[in-house]
Amino acid sequence: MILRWNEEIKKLIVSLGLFLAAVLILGNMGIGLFRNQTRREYTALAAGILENIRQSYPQISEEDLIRLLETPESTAEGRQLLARYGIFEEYGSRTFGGQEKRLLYFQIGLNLFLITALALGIFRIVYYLRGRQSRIEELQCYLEQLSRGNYRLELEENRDDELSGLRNEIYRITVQLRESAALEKYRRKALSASVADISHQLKTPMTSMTILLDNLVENEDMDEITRQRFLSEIRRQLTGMSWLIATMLKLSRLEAGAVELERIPLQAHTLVEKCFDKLQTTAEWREVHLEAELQPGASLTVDENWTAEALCNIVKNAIEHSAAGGNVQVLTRENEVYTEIRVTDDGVGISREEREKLFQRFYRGKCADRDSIGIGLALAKEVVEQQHGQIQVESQEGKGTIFSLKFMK
Amino acid sequence: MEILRTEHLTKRYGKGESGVLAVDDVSISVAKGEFVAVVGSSGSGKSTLMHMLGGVDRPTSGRVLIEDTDIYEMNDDRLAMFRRRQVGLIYQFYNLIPVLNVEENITLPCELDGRRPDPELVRELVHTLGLEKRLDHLPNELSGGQQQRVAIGRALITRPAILLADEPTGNLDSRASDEIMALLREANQRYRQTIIMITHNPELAKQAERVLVIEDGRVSRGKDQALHDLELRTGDVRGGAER
Repeated sequence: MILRWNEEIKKLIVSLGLFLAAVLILGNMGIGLFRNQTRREYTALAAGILENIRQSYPQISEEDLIRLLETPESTAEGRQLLARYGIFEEYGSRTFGGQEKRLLYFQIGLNLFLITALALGIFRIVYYLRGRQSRIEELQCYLEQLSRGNYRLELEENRDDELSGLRNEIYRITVQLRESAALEKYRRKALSASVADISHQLKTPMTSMTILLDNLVENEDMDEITRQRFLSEIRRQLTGMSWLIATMLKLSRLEAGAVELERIPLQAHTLVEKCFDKLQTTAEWREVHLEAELQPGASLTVDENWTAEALCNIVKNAIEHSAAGGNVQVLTRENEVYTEIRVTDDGVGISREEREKLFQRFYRGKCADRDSIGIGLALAKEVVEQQHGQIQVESQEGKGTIFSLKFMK
Repeated sequence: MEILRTEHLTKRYGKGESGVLAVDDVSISVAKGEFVAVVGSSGSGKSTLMHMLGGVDRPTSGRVLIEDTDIYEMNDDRLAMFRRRQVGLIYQFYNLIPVLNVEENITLPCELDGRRPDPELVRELVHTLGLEKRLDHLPNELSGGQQQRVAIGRALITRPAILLADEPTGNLDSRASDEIMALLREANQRYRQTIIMITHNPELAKQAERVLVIEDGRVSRGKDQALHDLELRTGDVRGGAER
């Protein structure tokens, strides 16, 4: 089939047909009228002349009169006569009869021309529509492939028309789908890695506690001080495990996208104050001085609890990396593009290799306190990034570290 | 997923003895969603490389493949269309249209393509760029940083395959620089935008995911050593910012 018929094309052909018919009819009518007019004038002229002759020369018989209408072989003299008096100049050298013939030819010619032109026009349109149809078919085919999960990348045609724009968009969707698929795969792997991580991380304190307990049970003559020490240690391990489990669960939920972060406009200093409240004791215990430089009015749109926790993890990390007498400063500032919270310490700093691994789940820094675990920072990173934020680290060993949290508008 | 690849890309100006090899046999690969910095000192060939990547300057030899399409196989018209749709460009000197306001500058690529820009995308972009209050301002009413933000908006509106940034902060003070870099990283993180940034500043380069060092037209695979050498030469040895 040359062309697949559908409603649209049928309508198009019908309207074109009607148009052609209208043009032909009107055109022919017009020319017909003109010819009629010419004929009438000719007849009137002949009748007029005959009438005049009849009246002026009544002796001429009717037959002779009619014979006057015959056109002689040569009309040269007659024409010169006319020319001398300037009559029928507009007809030049043509006769009425000639005029009529011309009009007839003209009418035929016009009809032929119009029909040919419109036929060609229709062929051109059919050709164009065919091309279009096959491109659309191709796109449909492409989409079918996509829906089956076959994300092959097709070369772009880059023609300057609507179908090309459409193709562009479809292509973009392809890429997105492909990435989504890859991301899903990655997430699933990450989840199973999480489970492995969790059990591993819990084993260590569990083993340690088991040993302690075994000792306590078996050693009935243990002295009170040692006993108390063991019990304290067990309690400490349990607290650590508890925090670890809670944080791991939070992180897993975040990564799985199972958490709905409630983002509301907040004053940045609220977050900082929350953190300082929570960590004041820890800081004092380690003899680290906490300082804040807060730009008044700096605000950001974030989930209060989760972001406060993220910030706390970072500040806690800073405290733990600082020596006694060190300073931890938290700065907030806002510009047209983002609001920044910056945590600076003048502690031991982080080496380049460590920096790279810093936000990985369970990395423990070389100088990390026995209690601190890298997961706190992993959580912080996830919380920040899910709220259109970025975390960056700058550090120099022996000089200190700067954590920069930038929350985009 | 690889989005850009060059094969033995070379650009030579002039002929024979007096010829200059601006880019010398560069073969690199960039994955989708990567943020790559190309660092080099002045005259190292980084701008020339970038122009060839963006389809602006034809190479002397070698190929540039974007999404598996050899972009120099196309004729000029197709190439222009390809550029318009798939390549976003940001320059050191903004290059905004002075007679168009902020919004018009940003949506220009869509208009040129005869398409209406997605209002949701425009709104989101404008919000992220912090330009909501300046939509009807003209470029000469904006600061350098703000103009560059408009340029970023313009580059991102078509969600191009790659965004090429040529010294985007070269003309800005450090505050505006920070804003621009944060925006580029945001585009990379949030829109998974592939970005290739040219800079002479190793500090800035380190803010990218991956660094390629270019020198005398040749690229080294961004090993720490090369970057370290560059730092020594530019006197920049402070521990840098990293992701």
